[in-house]
Amino acid sequence: MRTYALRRLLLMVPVIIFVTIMVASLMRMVPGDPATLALGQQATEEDRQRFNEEYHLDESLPVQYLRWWSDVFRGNLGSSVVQRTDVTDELGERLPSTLELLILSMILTVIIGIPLGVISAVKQNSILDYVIRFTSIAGISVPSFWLGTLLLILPSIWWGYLPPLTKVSFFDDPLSNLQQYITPAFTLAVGGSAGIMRLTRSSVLEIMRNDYIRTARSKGLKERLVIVRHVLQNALIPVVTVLGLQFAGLVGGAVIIETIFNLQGVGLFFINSIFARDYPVIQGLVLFLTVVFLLINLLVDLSYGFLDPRIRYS
Amino acid sequence: MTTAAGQSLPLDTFDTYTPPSRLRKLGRTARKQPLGVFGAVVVIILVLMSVFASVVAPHDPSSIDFDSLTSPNAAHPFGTDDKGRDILSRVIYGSQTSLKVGLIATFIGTVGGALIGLTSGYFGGLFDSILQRLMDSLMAFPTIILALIMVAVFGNSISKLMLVVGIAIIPGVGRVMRGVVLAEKQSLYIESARATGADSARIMFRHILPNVLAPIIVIATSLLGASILVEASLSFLGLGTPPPTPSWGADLSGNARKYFPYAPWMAIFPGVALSLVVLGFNLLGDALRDVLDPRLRNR
Repeated sequence: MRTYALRRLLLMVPVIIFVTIMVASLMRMVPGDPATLALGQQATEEDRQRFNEEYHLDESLPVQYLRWWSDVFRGNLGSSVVQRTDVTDELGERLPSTLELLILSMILTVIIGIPLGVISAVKQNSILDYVIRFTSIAGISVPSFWLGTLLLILPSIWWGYLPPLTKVSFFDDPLSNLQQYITPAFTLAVGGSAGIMRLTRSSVLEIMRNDYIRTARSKGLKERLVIVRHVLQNALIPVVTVLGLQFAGLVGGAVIIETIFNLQGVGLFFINSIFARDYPVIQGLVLFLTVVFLLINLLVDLSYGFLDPRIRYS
Repeated sequence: MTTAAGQSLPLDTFDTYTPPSRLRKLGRTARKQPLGVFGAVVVIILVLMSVFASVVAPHDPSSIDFDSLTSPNAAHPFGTDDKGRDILSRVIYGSQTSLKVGLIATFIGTVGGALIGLTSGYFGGLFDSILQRLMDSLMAFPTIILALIMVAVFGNSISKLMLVVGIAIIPGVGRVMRGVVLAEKQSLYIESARATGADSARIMFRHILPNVLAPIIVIATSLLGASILVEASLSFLGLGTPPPTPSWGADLSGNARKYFPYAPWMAIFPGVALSLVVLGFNLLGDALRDVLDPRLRNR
């Protein structure tokens, strides 16, 4: 297990190098240079040269790339050419907001998706089952940016309800902080919980066909106990691992949700720097996201072993 | 030939048996899959709408008018937007963008993914390992982030958008295909094909490919919905279909949100259209999976 984890960690290195080289070289192919973007059209040739020197943009691409890495190892992911701020500082400021959004919507995904999936499987082919299944397909189909817009604006039109506009820390005022985050988190959770519901349903159905479930029933165990103790424990193994994978997907969704609800998180930062063609920031953020996604995938793979002792790593 | 009761059946019982016609088979399947039929109807309407857009649309989707923000009426059944453009016509023409990007992106993604899955699963070894690590690193990114990074690099025109969305969905298809091919490779008919002296290319494309076509079709159908969503999301963020081309995603952003309290129809109709189309493809995909690939049923 430990050697497996170690080998996987080592395998991350070539992937990270590959991704960063790709991004770094592709970024330079794009028309429009950072100096003009940062200084404006009126800047003189001299200004531009000074700017390029200051940000080492006049050096060759490999040198720039290596310089960037040596900065990264010193804890500096690069600095924004447009905003003149450090990516690391910005990340530190914005990460808590994004994390809160992700964790809240993960919780919502679980408490919506798993119970609905179990009900749908236990009552297979009933009207309730059909309603839940149709709702879940609809949940996957509705675009999150549209749902978010409706959930943001409709309550304000119908009931004059507006969530608190200025950001409040969870530790200062948990209630208004939750008010602020619950709608975006729910919007983000809709698609994910629909997927989890479908997976839970099929997994429960599969487990229920097993002989040991029949044994449990025939020894007179109450149906509720059969479901909770025998079915769920086994059926939830694939669900938990997919939840881990969904966490990565939620980061993608957060980009859109943060834009709609104007939450100053990492996703909005990413979008804004794409608009500004702020290459150092994009490069730094891509590195950060790559590492995050690879680590999530590794944790998901490792969790198989903890949840299901039959799985051995080689 | 005797039945359980011991009576012998007249032989002509078998002679008169004719297999049900294709049409009847289709009807029987359709009755079992009402949701799939609904999905198919939505998809057919979408296709007709975009092919005959110029005939069906009452107005020019980009013509600007003084009649701005009028609520739905006889002349403008879906109302007009802040620039006085007819929303029904924009919804109709927007279907062209969605369908075009969806179809071509899915084609690129499915063909690319299928080729990678096919060769990687068939040859195995070092080739497979390298390709899979590459796919893993792409799979690590959520599709929308991958598409965003590529848009940041390549820029956004409709044709680039098709390519970007197509590339973003390759790894998912590749992984599923590889799994299917690995299972299929063990079959006896592959061994007998090899015994007759067929080379790798022939085995891959003449023998394995036809047998894994069902999962490919199923994946492609649900990917159509997914890639339409990706296009819409990118356009909503302002990084997708560039104006003035009508796109449901772009029409839902900016002013549609700003004017929502006064002109909700601006955001309602394109949103409903988009949701219905994606729902249609998802329902159709689910139904196709049940019909074409019974192994995946209930998944």
